[in-house]
Amino acid sequence: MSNLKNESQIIAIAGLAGAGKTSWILQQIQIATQTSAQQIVYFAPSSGTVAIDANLVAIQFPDVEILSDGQELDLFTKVANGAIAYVELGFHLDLAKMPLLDSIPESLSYHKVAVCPRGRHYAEFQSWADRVVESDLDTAQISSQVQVWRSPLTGQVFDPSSLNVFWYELTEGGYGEVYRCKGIFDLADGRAFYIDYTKGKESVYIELRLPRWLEGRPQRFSGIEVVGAGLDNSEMIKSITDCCLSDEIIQNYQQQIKRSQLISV
Amino acid sequence: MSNWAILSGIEANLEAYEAVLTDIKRQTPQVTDLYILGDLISATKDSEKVIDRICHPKLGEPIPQVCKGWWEEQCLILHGFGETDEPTELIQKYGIATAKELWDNIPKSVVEWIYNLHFAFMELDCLLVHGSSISVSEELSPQTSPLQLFDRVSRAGANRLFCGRSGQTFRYHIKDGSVCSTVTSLDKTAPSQTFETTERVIIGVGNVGHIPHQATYALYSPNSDMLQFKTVRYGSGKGFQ
Amino acid sequence: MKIAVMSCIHSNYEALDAVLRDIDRAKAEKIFCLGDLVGYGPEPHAVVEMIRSLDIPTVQGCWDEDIVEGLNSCECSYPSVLAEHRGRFAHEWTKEQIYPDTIEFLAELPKTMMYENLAFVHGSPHSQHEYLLPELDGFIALERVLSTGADTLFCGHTHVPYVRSLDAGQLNIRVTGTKENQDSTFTAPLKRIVNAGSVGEPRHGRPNATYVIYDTDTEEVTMREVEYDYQKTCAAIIEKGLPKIFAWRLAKGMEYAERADDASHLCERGV
Repeated sequence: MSNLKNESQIIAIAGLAGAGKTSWILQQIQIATQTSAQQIVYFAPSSGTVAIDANLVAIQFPDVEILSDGQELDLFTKVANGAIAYVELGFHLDLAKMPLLDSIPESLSYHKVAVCPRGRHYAEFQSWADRVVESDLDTAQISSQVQVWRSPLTGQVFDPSSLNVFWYELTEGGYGEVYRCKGIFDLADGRAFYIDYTKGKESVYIELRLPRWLEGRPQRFSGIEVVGAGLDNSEMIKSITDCCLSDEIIQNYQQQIKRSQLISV
Repeated sequence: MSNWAILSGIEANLEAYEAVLTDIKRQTPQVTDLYILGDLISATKDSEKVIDRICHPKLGEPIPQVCKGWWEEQCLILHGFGETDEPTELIQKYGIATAKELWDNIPKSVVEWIYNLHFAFMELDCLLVHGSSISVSEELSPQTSPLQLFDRVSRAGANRLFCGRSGQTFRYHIKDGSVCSTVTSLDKTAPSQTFETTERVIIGVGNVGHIPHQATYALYSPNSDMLQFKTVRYGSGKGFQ
Repeated sequence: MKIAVMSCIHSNYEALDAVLRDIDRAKAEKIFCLGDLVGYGPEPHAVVEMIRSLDIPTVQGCWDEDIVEGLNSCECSYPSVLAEHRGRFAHEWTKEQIYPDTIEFLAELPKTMMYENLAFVHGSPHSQHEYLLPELDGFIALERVLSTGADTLFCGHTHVPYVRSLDAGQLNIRVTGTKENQDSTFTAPLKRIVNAGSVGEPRHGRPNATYVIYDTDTEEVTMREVEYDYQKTCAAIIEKGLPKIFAWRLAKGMEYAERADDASHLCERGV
């Protein structure tokens, strides 16, 4: 994938769940931040309170400005002032009904990019996009009866071995067929992880560059998004609840870690 | 450079403890750390005096680091703070009268002090403990099965284990070893695997107070791995010096 | 003589029934059971009654002990808080299902059994909660067999059957500091650990029940895998209000469930 020119512009990105939209954007931002000091804006319309992608971008690239619903005009202003804006369109959004895209002032440069699995071009995206980029993900098995389940988890702290068991059950079909799931999780030792799974691939675990949270329940975003079919939401909630630590245990862990940090210093 | 003195089993014998402390002060190089691996007390009244002496080292004496022994555990069991509720082991070994003495002679304040003692110390790759890594009651000696000794050191993640339960002084050196293992599961037989071990050492540090007029303890230098057993004769039976 | 050894039935009557039929077909003359009669599954009472009525010599498993003494498991039983929450739920549920005399029966089960040169335990001779995983350090594994005085140690608890031979064990030793210093070599003859797998909650990747047959004359071990109608048990799990995930796990023969993954983790609790 080659990068687009660093001119001020709006780049709207669409594609199926798990096609690699956020990965492509992260790659572009990586290149852009290496080559220029141009301001970068990220916006994922209608992602609600569980904006996992936006949070991932914010953590990996703290200089990128993240906008949320209602800040559309700011976006235009920033681009008019020389910024480059990535607008990530969730697969659940109808590309034909995007008032934001329709209201982009003509003075601003605007590109539409569709991310599609290699060798598999979808007419819907092809007719919409100015450019199709290929990703090496296989989304062939995805049926049309797609369900999305999201939950904020902010303040919850996971026992890592419990999270491993739950993630295994989730991705192996214990709660229904899962095509895609991703989440940001705070762990007992104060670290936060981004975990990402696409059907047919190994789960990816990324430790987020955040300070260890060692003072009570983390006051920072965490959350989970599951895309699949026949999902048993109530069982997922039950298991997730059972994976989380009590105030007392969290405090114990945090004290232990603080002590060991003192020793190592 | 640190030099350890490691002892166990004072068993309320204050005279023996004083004699060992005097011997420790005479050592060159100077002893920097003093470990007492339990059994400070017995069922007698003198127990309190020994604890008092341990808690108040004199100027220039190393501050003792103390862990729990068999007698301390029996005392805790009597007061309901032990791993089990019934003082079965104590009664089997010494009878009910001793159990009563132990109850009568150890004041509450001392029980509380005992309650806060550690089970063991882990220093560098050395585990220091009264019995074994499993229990204060387990007696490790050269007569113990070699694999059991190996297990007790390994399960603590240590290479050296210092213990006092047997009262003996010994250095049991597992130099090396191997075992061949083959695992067959439902679906396959994995190729044989040979486990090899690096050295492990189990050290008995002797006993201070049990045998009248004769105390034994150990000196160890972790930097050089030098180990020395000391025998201290004291009181009327000390003979020619 | 052929003997059958089974373990970890976990209230799965369908599986137990199928295994008993298979044992019959294999013409085993004696059966030993390595405990965990209850927990996870929907038929605790029926399973215990079957074992009692057939007078099968049985050692106590960790679930059997916990039902009797109240949950006092150590961390290796519950390697995660998720496993602990689920375990507690199943524990409470099971407790409500069984009768006082069933509890009494479970309470009186021995923790180890010997038969000729064979020893039978649930987890390890040290603790019902300790996992003897096939990857466990060879010396530690050998120690576990030797501590029983047996030539072959039968255990369960991991839910995955295996046969492990430990051969040519030796340690070179030097003892000093005692009256006489000496060098010696300790050698151990061939010893074996046989894990009987699990009748009612297999975790070898298939839903079939597993157990082993041992021939006391040839010392040959056969690992048996028995198909049964696991869907029936799954349906009963859901119907009786046990966590649905138990049914899913049973149907998958989940390899990845409640167990200590760390083979070097040794149980701190004694028997």
